[in-house]
Amino acid sequence: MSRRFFLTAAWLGALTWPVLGTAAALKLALVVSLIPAALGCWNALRRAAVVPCRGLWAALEAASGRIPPRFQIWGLAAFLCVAPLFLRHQTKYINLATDTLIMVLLALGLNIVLGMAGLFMLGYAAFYAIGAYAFAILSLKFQVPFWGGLVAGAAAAALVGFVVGLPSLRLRGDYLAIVTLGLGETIRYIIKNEEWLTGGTFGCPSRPVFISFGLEPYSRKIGSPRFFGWPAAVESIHYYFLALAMVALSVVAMQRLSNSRIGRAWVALREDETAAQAAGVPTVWAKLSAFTLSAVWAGMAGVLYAAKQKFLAPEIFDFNLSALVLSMVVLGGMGSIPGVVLGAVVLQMIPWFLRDFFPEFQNYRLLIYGGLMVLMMIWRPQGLWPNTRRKIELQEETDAVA
Amino acid sequence: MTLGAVYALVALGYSMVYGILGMINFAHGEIYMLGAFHGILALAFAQHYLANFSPVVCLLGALVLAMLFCGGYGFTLERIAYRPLRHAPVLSPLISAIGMSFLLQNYVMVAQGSGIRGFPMEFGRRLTETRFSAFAGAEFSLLEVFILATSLLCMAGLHLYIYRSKMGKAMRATSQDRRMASLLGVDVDRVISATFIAGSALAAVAGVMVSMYVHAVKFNDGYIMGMKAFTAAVLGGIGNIPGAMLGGVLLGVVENIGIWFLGAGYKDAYSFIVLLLVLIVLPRGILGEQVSDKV
Repeated sequence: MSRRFFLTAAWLGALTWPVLGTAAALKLALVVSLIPAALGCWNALRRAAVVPCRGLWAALEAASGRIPPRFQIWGLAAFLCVAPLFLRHQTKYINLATDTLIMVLLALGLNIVLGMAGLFMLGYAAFYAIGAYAFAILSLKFQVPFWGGLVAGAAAAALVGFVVGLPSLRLRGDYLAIVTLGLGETIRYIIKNEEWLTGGTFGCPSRPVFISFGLEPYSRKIGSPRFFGWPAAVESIHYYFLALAMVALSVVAMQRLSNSRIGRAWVALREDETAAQAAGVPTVWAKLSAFTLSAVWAGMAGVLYAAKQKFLAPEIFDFNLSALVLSMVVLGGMGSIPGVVLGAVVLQMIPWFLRDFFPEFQNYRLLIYGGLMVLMMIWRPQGLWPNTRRKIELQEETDAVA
Repeated sequence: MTLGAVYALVALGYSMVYGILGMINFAHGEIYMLGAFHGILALAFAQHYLANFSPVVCLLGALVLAMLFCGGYGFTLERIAYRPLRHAPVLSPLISAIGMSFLLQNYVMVAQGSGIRGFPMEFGRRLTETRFSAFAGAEFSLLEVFILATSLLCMAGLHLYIYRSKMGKAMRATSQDRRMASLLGVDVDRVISATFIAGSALAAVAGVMVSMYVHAVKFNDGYIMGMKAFTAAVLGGIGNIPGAMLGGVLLGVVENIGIWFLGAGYKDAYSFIVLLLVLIVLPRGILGEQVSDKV
């Protein structure tokens, strides 16, 4: 066992020597060769801690089992509503929470196409960009209020989603992936190059105006604007609640969608397209609706982002974002709504956590992040919270193989 | 044409891995970038300590070194990130590949800095300055000829390896039916490792040559190259080796024509547009097999 680790260590050290230099490569080799010792310590610790931990875990499980699931959900909702009120002036945390919620929206949207319908899409950030830019341009040039912008952004994204869906009717699997990736990149190039419309590489500001809730920015109204009667400017916390409401509505909508007629059509499509077609599932319609609906969610997330951020830079809508959302869906468990939410929260929190608690590792942040992604996939290839139906199927499959 | 040959080299790696494992190796672009870095590091070393060696020997040495190390990286990549996921759901190795791509990119950034690394010019100068004029006033530099020749040589070598050697036979068998191959005594794990090593070595050659051509390399160069090479592989029909070569060359030509006619702003988008047009007509790429779908 430890001999294998020594060999691995020597191998890695030799491999990284030209890039890292002698000292760092030696360090790396040392760290790797110490892994068995670390694992030994960890196991000993676990054995020592297992009795009290198991007791605690059992107590927690019993306690949570006694609360009916409905109350658990309401409790979570109440926590999400009340906790930020105490952090109201810690804009940093509120912004982080809002960003996370926006990512949850994105991940939920991608889950329609990827998790439910099994269509492999790689250019998802493009729809997000379309929503964001549609809102920014409308709000800047035509003073369209937020709610109108939300509808317009979602509609614009839906239109593009529909168009992107069209080639998907002929393509399958990885060919579809590369085509959506290409379309996504093309949209990014258009944003970058058409300066008259989008500001190009200089970015694009947005000017959100709210007409309901009494929420308006300072510039539009003399004196302090009001939020439910309280004096308030549009603060980050309002965006948080907006995002929270949208996520809550989306979760409900997704739940209903996945059990609806079209949701079942998507599952049939995912499992076997040819069989689904033979069984009378309208595959053309199912595919196009999956693309369009999923784009709607991305568009809404984009609008929210544009309103919150008030400035859009084209670089953020690149492939890394698409890959990140994709990882959220796969890591959480494809097709499982709580899984996708969990995946989005975990992947959004990790970089922040690394930045905030280990600032000395600033440069290593993405390195560690990539490593964690690999480790998490190895640890739970089916996702953190797999879809129940899918889980059962997978188990049957492995049983059959064994 | 030169660019196309390089695309083809990188595309081969994608196509080989896809043919055998049925997965997209998203970290392949990073291997290409690592190849470029190793080439540059080796040449910088040679410039300092082996100044009286002939530049050609140094260049060849750098190429071989980059190939060796990239082969090592490819092998390690497969062992760490893909082998544990061999029997996992389809998309899991893909996520692990994306994670690996982040990891490798930032590993190079942390170790080598985020700036542009210049190519030691002494070695490229003679090659770039010798120019030929060919038909219709087009000009070639010796470097372009060198790149083209090396790429063709590598492709010919790969062709021989796959169609003449024993391991190549095992590779072809594995890509047809992995389970059947393993039942017939093919060591599938070894075949997969060999595939990764061969693909990565080709990417390393491409990396060294491109860094020679554009004189610089940056830690995130692998991304756009990966995209384009993947596009080339799909264009030719993924999993198909002559297809990858054809796709790469085609892509290079199309890109140059596109820049000629439409300006450089959309340079990177042409390849995707062409891909889209081709795939709408031929959904499985130019040389892809037209399989009917089975239930």
